[in-house]
Amino acid sequence: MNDSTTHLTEEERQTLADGTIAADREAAARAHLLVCAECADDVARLEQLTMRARHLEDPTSDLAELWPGIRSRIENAKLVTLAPDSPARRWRRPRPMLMTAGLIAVLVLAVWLGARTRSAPDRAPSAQGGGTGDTSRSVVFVSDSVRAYEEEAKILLDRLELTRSGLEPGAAAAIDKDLAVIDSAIAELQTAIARDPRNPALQQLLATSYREKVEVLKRVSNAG
Amino acid sequence: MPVLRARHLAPTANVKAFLVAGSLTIVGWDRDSIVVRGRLRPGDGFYLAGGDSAVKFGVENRSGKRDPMPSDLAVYVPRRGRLSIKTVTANVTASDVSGWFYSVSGSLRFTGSATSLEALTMSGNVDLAVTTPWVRARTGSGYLLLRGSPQDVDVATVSGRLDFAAAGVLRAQVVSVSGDIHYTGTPARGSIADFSNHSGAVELALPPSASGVFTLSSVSGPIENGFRSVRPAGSPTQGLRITLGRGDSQVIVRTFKGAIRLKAQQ
Amino acid sequence: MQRAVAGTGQSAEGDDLVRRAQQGDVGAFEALYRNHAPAAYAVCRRMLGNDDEARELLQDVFVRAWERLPSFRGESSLGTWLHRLAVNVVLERLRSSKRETARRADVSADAVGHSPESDVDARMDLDAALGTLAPGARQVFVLHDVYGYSHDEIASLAGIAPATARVQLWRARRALMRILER
Repeated sequence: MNDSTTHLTEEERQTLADGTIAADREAAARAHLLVCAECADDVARLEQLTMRARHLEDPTSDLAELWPGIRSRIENAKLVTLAPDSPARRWRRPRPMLMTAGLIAVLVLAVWLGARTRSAPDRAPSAQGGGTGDTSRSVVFVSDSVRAYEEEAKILLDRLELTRSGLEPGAAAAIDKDLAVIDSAIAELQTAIARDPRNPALQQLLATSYREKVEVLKRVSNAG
Repeated sequence: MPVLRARHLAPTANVKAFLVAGSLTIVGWDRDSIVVRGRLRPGDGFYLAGGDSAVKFGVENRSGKRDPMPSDLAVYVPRRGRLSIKTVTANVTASDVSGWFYSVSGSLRFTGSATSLEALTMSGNVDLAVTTPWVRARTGSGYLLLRGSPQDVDVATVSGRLDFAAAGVLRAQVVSVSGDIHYTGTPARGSIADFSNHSGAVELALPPSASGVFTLSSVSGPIENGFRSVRPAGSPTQGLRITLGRGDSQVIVRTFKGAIRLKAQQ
Repeated sequence: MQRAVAGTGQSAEGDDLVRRAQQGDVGAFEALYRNHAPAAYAVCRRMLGNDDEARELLQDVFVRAWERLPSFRGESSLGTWLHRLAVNVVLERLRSSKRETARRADVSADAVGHSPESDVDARMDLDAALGTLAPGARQVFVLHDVYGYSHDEIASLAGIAPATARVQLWRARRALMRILER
């Protein structure tokens, strides 16, 4: 690397630019920059970009006018429509006007949901994928993305059913064929995961299959 | 019925087009203009609308017939323009253009240079022989062939075969569900490539000079190491890690039950 | 997270506002909104790439903040807590099909690497260039290079492997350089 004919790798350039290059590689990489104008120029341009990003001024907008809409949604969420003989009435407690039974219910539900669906960053992050040296935390993160893909696929499938009649001829058959292949793969993976739920390789393969399913369904939207 | 239209167009103009059936040949050139020539069936109408910085063109089915007859168009556009092209069954052949290309069942074929390229089809074939910083391609049951020198690659099929023979790729994500994936070549120094397949095979045919760390894992498929003289770490049931040469690229291969084959090219 | 999130400093008055908002005082929550909305908007605007969606999503962020405020324990500052919440809301939106399908279904020039509307100023600023990136690339770049998230944090938020986050970041930087140096 200490010559001008063998250039730095992309990883070396990028990590030099943002200062995350491994300590044992930095000296050699920097020495190369002294003799290679091309790499030096490229790293300098990358550094400039990361500097610009770090010092980017916050975009502004008139946000005060959004408050009424937010307030309206908050207030609407407090209201609970009760049937005439709803048991909930018996639980109504005397409170200031703002604190209705609906608000209590929303807050309780929000706390419960918040505890159930704590976002991934609140857990210690895990690094590995790839089938060797994976941790159980990576299983959790990948399965989170599987759930996200599952939900997205459901929405897209609903849309497909609504628009199926308007698809170009041949498109519906192609879609059904692709989905059958992918769904078969997903079923096999889910069976395997049921036997070995802590296998991160299976979770990653499942996430990949779901991602491709979502990709196929998104391509459908252009087939109308 | 012949068509011939020409107009001025900015070098970085946006161009969009829709063609149902037939063929669309697109060539990127160095002139600040768009030229469209071709043939339509009687009764169909051609439109070309827009301004200097954005145009759209296509063929309107005015005959009232349900099954569209093919139209054949050849289009010349500024090579730095951005294209958005959609067809149903029409085949697209393009050179030296960039943008987004979609066909339901037509084939997509690209050569030359591009700033970026997206080629998507439900069931058509995709043939890419391009030099570009970034390419993304998808097909379902069609055949996907990748050649040329793209730097950043994101390609996938569902059941179609995928042949990867591009050079100089720095980052690659290659996926199929049941189609076989065949990789031929030498991983570029410092590159990272990720191959994933459910039941199709992944075969890597590498020359003796190949250099990289190959991490191969399959849940229930066989892993065959054609580099007999290299002792892999791990066991076939858990996965293998094989280091070739200086080990200065990373290749990860993952399947559920598809076979993984590492072959030494002679 | 390296970069300081605006509005993270929390005074005793701020603690009082949080406590009152947690008890249902909408007026107190409005004060919190006015203090923290600009920072949350900046996150949304940068990650989504356009003002309209950012303003729409900002409302979702604060409605969700109202719902989840009772679970805020003060382990971090409110600004940091809101920043994370905004990032999660944006990522959920980016994962939703509606936006992606609309982006692809519209065969319009604006859907693919759109150019700035005006060519008068040929040099595009970084914010405008960010708006032209694909959503995944933009989110990784904004989280890492603008807000200082680590690759591990980005990976866990986005549901991808850290190596993938690194590669996406490098790709995003290259794309931005191409756009900015045109």
